[in-house]
Amino acid sequence: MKNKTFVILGSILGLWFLASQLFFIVPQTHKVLILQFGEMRRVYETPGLKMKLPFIQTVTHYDARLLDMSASAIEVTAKDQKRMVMDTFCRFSISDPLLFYKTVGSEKEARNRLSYLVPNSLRDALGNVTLAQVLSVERVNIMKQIRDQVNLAAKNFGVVVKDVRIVRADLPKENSAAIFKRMESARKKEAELIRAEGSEQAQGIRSRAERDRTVILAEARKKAQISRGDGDALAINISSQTFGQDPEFFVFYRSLEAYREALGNSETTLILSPQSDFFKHFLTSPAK
Amino acid sequence: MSWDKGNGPWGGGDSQSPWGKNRKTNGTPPDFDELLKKGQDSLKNLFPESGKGTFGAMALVAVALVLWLSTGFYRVYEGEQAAILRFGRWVESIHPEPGLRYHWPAPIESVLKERVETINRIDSSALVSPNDKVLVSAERDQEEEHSMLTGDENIVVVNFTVFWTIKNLGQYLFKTKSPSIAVQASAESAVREIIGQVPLDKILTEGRSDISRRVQALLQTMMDDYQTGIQIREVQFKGEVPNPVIDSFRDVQRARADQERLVNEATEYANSVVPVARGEAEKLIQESQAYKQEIVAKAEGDVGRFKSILTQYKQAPAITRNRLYIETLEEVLKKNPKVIVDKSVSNAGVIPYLPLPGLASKAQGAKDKPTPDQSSTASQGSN
Repeated sequence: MKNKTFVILGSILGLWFLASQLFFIVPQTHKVLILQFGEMRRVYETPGLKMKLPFIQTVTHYDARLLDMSASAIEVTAKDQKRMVMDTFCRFSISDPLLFYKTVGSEKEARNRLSYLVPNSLRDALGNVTLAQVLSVERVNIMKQIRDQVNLAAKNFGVVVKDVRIVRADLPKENSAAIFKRMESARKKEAELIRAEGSEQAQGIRSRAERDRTVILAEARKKAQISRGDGDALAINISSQTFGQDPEFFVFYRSLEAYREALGNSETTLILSPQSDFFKHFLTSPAK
Repeated sequence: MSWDKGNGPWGGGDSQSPWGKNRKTNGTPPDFDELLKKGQDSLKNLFPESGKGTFGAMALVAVALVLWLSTGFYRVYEGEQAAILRFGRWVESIHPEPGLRYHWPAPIESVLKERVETINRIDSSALVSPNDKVLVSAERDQEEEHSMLTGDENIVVVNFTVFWTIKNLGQYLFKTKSPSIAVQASAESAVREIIGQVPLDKILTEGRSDISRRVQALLQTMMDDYQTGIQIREVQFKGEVPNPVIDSFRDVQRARADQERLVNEATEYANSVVPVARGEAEKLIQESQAYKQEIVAKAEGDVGRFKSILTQYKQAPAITRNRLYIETLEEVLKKNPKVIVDKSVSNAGVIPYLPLPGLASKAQGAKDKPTPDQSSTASQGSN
């Protein structure tokens, strides 16, 4: 009869419901809090199949893993008055589920708290160091300092912060322009220097070449003059040796040659007297 | 009760109870058919519905059961590792080999799988499309996004890539929430930290491999610290000069090129000047040698001539002298215009008047233009 069916089905469903109230699973990644009428009964931190009292005990799950939270674009001022814009990334876990439940209750609320704790600590820590220190190995210490300070407060709501990392530490956009200018002028100077050096070297090479040229030519001229001198001397020697054998005849002979050369160009008008020796035989006949 | 009636739907028999005390034979094994029938009867009695409906319901239940059991099948591919969770607890002792495997269906057991041999890749450029190409239109924002402060307070644009694998499945699955995001954020933090400790020119040139190494070491430390179960295989990065100053950096390179060019030009010049000078020097010397030879030869020539004439002269001095004299005058007078003026003519009172310039221009003849005035002074004409 139909009654029986319903009874059977009903009893199966009932069993199922009872089982779900009696048993529950703690996943590998969760911690579980058992509350009885709002009062803490047990914390389960090991995974597996567990039992509880049906109906009167409730199960609250919390993530047992390392969680992360980031905070972006936090403006801070360093000790040397230099302003920076920072992004942070922190990792935390729920260490005390009961305290967590009592104080913040949910992950969302915990994140809210951290999202102002972290920037505050960041500003505190950065106010005590210079920008140069942030850009050095001291960065690690700064981050540790921030983490420790945040943990002091996080302890109060059952959270442990594993670390706080500075992801970005940049100067504000307005400063970028100034930095670019500085980079540019440094490069300009470098370029100028290089070009000047190039000029200098080139000039040196050219001057040296000119000097060499002058020296070479001067040497050559000197040698040439000496040669010519030698030649002249030799010629004179040769001449005087021979012409010296009869100087008087030499004068006569050489004069005649001079007349020939000097007056032999058809441009000289000679005004002659027939009384000259040349015409001796011209005027007087040989019959005499 | 229907049992009592004995006229059940399947009729027959005067059975008094479902299990039938009605045996045809005593002491013999029960008839199988009978047993089956009786079993069927009893089942049917539990569900006293019409035959077909009950059968259908049973079939449905059976099918559901089979389906439920079959959800326990799973495959482990090569390069994958799997973790079995029993009632939520990870059973570490089970290491399923690749192939078709079975586990108890949920909620009893479940499986989580990861590809542990794949090398995963994270790029700093967040705007990477599926084709691994960077979207060009967002280039400007990209540069700001990847600008970093260097150790000497300059700005550099850095893009990096991190290659990682899973080295510990348990840690990867259960210790950290979203480990691949953790890698990304940690990588960014590590890169910026190291870049912030190195000066700009090192980042751009010789410091690159050192930086990669340091970032990888730092990142691995972080990964191990957080127990992410991740192994960092390699870190690659590239540092570039930000766009606004790229021109001045290029100018430095141009300056170097200019420097080289100037020096080369000067060297070329030097290389041409000196040999030319040497050539000229050689020419000067050769010319002087030639002069020397020429002049000596001429002297020797003159001397030779003189010598032979001298010999003649010595043999007959008077004749030689006269001969030479007459020959010379002949030659000279032959060539030149002459005017012979007798003494007696001049004594007679004739004053010789010679327009010398005019005579000079006449003598020139074809060379110059004839001057119209022959009596003009010496300023005209040339000699």
